[in-house]
Amino acid sequence: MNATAPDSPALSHVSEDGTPTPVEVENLQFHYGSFHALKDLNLRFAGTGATALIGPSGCGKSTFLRIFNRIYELYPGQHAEGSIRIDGENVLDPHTDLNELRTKVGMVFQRPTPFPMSIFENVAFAVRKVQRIGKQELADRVEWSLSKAGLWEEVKDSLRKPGSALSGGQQQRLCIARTIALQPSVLLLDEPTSALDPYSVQKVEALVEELKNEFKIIIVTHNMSQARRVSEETVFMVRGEVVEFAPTRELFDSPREDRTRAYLQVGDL
Amino acid sequence: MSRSLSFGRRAKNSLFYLFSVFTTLFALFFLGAIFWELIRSGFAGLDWSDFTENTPPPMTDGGFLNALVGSLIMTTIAMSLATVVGVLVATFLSEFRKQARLGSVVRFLNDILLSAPSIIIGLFIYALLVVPFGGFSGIAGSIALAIVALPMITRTCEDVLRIVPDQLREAGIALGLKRSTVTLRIIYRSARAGMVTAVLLALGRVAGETAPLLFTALNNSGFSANLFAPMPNLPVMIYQFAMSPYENWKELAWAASLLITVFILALNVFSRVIFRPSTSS
Repeated sequence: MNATAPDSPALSHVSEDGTPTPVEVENLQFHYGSFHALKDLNLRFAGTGATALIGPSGCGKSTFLRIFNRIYELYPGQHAEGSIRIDGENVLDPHTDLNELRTKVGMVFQRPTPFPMSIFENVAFAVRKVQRIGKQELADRVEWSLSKAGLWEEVKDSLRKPGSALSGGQQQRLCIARTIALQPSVLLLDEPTSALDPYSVQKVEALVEELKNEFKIIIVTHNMSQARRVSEETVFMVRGEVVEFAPTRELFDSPREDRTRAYLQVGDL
Repeated sequence: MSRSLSFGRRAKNSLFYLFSVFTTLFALFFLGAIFWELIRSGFAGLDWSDFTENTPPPMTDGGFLNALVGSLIMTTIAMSLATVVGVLVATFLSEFRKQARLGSVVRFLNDILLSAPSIIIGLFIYALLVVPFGGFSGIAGSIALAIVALPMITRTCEDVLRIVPDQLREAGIALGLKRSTVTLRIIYRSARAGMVTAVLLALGRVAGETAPLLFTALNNSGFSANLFAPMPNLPVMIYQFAMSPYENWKELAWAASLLITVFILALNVFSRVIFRPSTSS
């Protein structure tokens, strides 16, 4: 447990005066072929803590999240315009080095996706490929990440076992570990608990609580109470548009928009 | 009335049941007969000297060492070529989906190649590599066999690569890994068992192919490992010896047939065993 944090990644997106730079979204448009999925989003997320994206299915919250690391570019016909600034740099700039961007903006998916390799390798693999670090340092990094992800105690004696041998909840924490092992400055979580049992949900939520002190977190969730529990600010979206963006408590306790109020009531049932 | 209805249904059911059992037995009977005859006559002709001596002239003792070695050489070359090209084409089809149009053309052509009669492939190589270069050769035979194996490997490998969930690709890409790293180290590893199966099944198919070799490698009564000369091989040897009037040749043909059949059977059984879903996937 005494793994030393290798130059703590804590908020590497910090400006010179010591305050984290916010994440700025300007005039963001997104198209799936001819379908206009996101319509002119303008938002300014706090540089720290967790931001939750909520809204009905198909409102574009996952689409939105997938622009931050430009993973949508894997598929033909998907196209984004506008800008998203992280650390002052526009990720949508055509000159952006995508591999570098993706080590800086990590992503965890809905379903756990362990690689077909050992638990240790699952975490070490990308670190070794992306950063030049020595053997001992790598082992330390793996321990540090697994500890951060709250998994170290459970797996420290079985690091050579395949990642797929873990339970679903453990697999998801393994995926979180391997993402933070790269020491990103932003962590994107795409409904990270929707495929997990309630016990694992609790564990992952507790983890998000803790990680948000070190990484900027943007989390998409279907679960209202989860958004309420883990985030400081919440974006409520409907049909590709932002209906309301406010501090979480404010949005849940005294929503300004009728549509937000209506959705929260249904969502609370 | 409901009683008679249910009687009618039960009668119909039994009838169909009997009919299916009968047709199954009918089909199995011929399979069994083939195996039985193969084992009976094959074992009679099988002999240690088969593996130590070359194909003999009529009416003398001998074996098929030269044909066995020739087959091994040509099959090895063919499978190496077909595996490399097939896996690459399958990778293109499954991993580069942005090129959807080109992909569907390639897939269509591959399917045509898959159903092309192997004798046509033999003729094609005859025109391309045998006539212009002045004669039958082991290399021409290898390439003909590779073309038979290629569409099978491509097709099956594409299928197993596509089974790998997109989320695994995304997860790799999202860690900042290069596309090639994700494909080589994560996707291939996930699809490993299926890809090996694809190669084994194609090998099983190629091992007994005769038609593509008739026009390409032809045969050779002596031992030859020269890729640029006619190369002896089991299928063409069986073809020639089985139709001859000489007892010893027929015996050798039976023994070689048994050998090939057992080899293919073993491959099929083996590939079923390894493709059984395990914890590794």
